[in-house]
Amino acid sequence: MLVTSIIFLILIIAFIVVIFVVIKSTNSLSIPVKYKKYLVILFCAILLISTFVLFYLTKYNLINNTKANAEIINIPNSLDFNELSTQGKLSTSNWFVQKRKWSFDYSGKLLTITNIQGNNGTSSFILVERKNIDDGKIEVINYVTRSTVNGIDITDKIKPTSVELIKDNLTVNYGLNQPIKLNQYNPDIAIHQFMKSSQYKYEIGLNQSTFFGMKIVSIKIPKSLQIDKASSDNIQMIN
Amino acid sequence: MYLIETNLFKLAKKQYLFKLKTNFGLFFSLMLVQIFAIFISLGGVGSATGGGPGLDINITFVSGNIAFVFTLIWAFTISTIVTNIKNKNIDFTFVSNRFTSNFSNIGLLITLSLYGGLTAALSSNLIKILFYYISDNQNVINSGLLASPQYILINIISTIFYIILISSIGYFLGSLVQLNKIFILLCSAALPFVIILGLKLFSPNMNSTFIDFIKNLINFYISESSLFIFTVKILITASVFFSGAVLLSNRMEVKKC
Repeated sequence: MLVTSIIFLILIIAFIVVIFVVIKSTNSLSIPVKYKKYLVILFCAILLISTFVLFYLTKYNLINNTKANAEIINIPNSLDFNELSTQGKLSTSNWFVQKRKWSFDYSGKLLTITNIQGNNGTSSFILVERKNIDDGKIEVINYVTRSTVNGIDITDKIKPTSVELIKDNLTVNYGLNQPIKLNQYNPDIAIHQFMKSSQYKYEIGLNQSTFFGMKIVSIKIPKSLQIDKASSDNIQMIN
Repeated sequence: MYLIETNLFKLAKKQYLFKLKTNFGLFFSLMLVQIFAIFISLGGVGSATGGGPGLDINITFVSGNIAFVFTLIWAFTISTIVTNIKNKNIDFTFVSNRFTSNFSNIGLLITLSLYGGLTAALSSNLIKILFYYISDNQNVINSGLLASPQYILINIISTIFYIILISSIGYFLGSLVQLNKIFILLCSAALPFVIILGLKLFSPNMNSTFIDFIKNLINFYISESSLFIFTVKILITASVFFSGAVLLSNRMEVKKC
């Protein structure tokens, strides 16, 4: 904090010196006054035009600051994922977004599922469901629960879990912490001072909820395939 | 007996128009300062970080605050320059007195404040447009992009008044320095204390009566949410500083060689 403050004050002093030098030097610049006037008028015109252009900018592709989504608040906790999966609600509900699908051909009788944690100890929630047939295929679907940051839906920015089948080991790797960079326009100091507090908080998302979601991996295995007891602990067998 | 009766207001107006013409470079210098501020602002004026399971979130904020601060610094600098000997000697080419000289200086500063306030407030819009086109729109949050016309106008008015306040303080300090050069030494000696005070103001752990007084003084202006009361506060404060500068200059000798 102290170092930051010192750096900040040094920068302020440096800017004062720079501005002082600029002022002193522009008075002695050999640009005729006539051209200085034209440049100043041009600058003012650009600023005025930019104000009008701002109203016509398309907001396509910009991220919308959605209101707190009641559906997100109602996302059930992990204890209910079994029931949701058997009811088929993982793929039909708005609470979950399907990220990726895999299908592996597997003819073995035993499968080891390894759930690798991310670099902060977080791991995917794995649901294993046995199919009614022996089709020799392991189908894997990765879902992500809807996630928001200050009311901004970032679900589509979350990368899927990686899944690999190497011999008889199905590895579900949560992956490293994913960096998500966002940019936001903030009201200026003067606007902030006179903007109503509730509107200001809404503009910068202070009164919006933040929900960090979970990654769910749904694995459907052939009827007679057995899961090795050496598999990771946090795996839920549905049937 | 005089053939032509002088009018104080007309004399001041003549001086004001002359100073406006001769000091046009100040408008140009503000333009350069604001262009510099705009380019710096494109890299963001602040950031916030956070995280959750598997996510590291970094939000970069973009606004016109750097242009606003640079304009305030510029206003302070030029208001001290206006009181220097070179500009004071210009007054002797006119039929004038200290009153008309100060009146024309204050008029010049208010004109510069109007120009500075307008351009600083509108710079924010230019920054938003430039950032819109140079950034990856997939990662830009929509809110805050468009301020309503009402708030653009409020931004312009409040920025103008902030600049008037800073100009009045700078003009007063400039007059103080012109009164006696000892004040240059005092101001230079006070700089380390100002830096320490600034550090203490930023530090949440530092508490003292004096620091609280300074904080309350600053909050008196920056936490006022009514535009009308804010302008009254600024006008009264600026009047006090400008009046102080006029009184100080009246104590000075006619001309310094």
